[in-house]
Amino acid sequence: MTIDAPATLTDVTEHHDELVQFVYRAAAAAGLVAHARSLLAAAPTELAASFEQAMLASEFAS
Amino acid sequence: MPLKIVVTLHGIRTRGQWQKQITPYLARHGLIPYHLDYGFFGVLSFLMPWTRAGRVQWLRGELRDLMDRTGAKRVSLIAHSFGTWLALEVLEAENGNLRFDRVVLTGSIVRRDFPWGSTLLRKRWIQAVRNERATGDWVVRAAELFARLAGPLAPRAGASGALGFNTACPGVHDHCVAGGHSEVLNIANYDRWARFIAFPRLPPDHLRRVRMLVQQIRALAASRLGVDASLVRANLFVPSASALRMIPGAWDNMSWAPEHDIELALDHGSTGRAFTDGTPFSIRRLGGSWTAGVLPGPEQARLDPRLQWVLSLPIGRLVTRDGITVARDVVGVLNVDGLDSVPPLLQTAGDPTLKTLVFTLWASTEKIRESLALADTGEPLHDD
Repeated sequence: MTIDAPATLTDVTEHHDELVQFVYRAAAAAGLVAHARSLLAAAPTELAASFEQAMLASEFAS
Repeated sequence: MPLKIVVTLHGIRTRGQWQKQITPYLARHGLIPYHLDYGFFGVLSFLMPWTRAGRVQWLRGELRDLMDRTGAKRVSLIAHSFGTWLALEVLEAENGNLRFDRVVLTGSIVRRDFPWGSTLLRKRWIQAVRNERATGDWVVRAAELFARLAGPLAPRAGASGALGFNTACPGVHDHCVAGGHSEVLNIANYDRWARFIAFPRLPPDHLRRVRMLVQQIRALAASRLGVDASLVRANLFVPSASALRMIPGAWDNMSWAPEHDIELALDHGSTGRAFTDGTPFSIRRLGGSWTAGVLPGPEQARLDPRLQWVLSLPIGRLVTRDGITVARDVVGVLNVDGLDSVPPLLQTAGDPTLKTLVFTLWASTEKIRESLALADTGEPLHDD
């Protein structure tokens, strides 16, 4: 397939196994959230606040 | 993003003084006002089916003529009272041949069971509606009463300007105040209506905050991927007129101008897939092709030729269902992408470090979601 060829995702099943799709399983949530928080420790406070807000608003961290 | 034309329509027993007053508010948000005036229309004329039908035909002609002359595919609308009824009668009569962008109804006498689900969501005849109503509006209640009593000669009218719609669905935004029929035509509302119609173009307050968050997320991504920040970019796509488009100015390091006008189908490429599925998605360039679907030719030609990878993060409420976390009520997609080469970390799908980074960036879009949700309804930024 060339980059000029019109195509949709459904047309490219031959590349499907190469897709990088991130699906988060609830079982990994606790560890993932802890790692994310440590990563944000040095990030701007707005990002950390946004992250915490998402955690509070979602059922992810419950 | 094309300029938007805003048609204004007055009600009965008035010549619409508010239409003149609202012009500077529309201009402030880059909108083009087009005020329609069908003259003084009395109550008696409203009660007669043939005079009502005459005004519907008149409006159809006016709107078709306007769209022909300007080349606009859709127009936005602000209507009051009988004007709301006229506008939606025209929409249904045109059966998809004429479409509205974003519509503000004030003192609406449109029937309360108007089929928003099909006209707005399924057929996409309208993009979004803001219904500005007043609980003490006796005029719209009288219109509903007349519609009930007058039998087959009655207009399909209702008290949606007082009681709201009972067919509300996503995209129909209800705003209620106390007061009478003219209370909603309050000058204090004009800026909000202009903001609502201008969306997805963001007003300065939302744009400042969104841009700052986009910059921070880009910087965090570059630092954690171990890439020179000048090679990492970020942009924000939202649905607009049946396609995903970049919000002007809500980007960082996007110096390749042709990309600013890219239009993507809602399920197309990394951005479209993230938008449709509600999960993060990533693609990489592999020689002459990509690891996922490519864009249609004209859109592909707009891409920066140095682009090598894209990470698309859907912006919505994160929820966990059946063990999988997805974004619900997705309002847009944040793309973090990069030039010249693919960082090694991005080539190791399933790597816990990569998962953590992607999840962190994803959850950090929460305040962007908040701003987009407010801007979509025309509301200004509230202080934290």
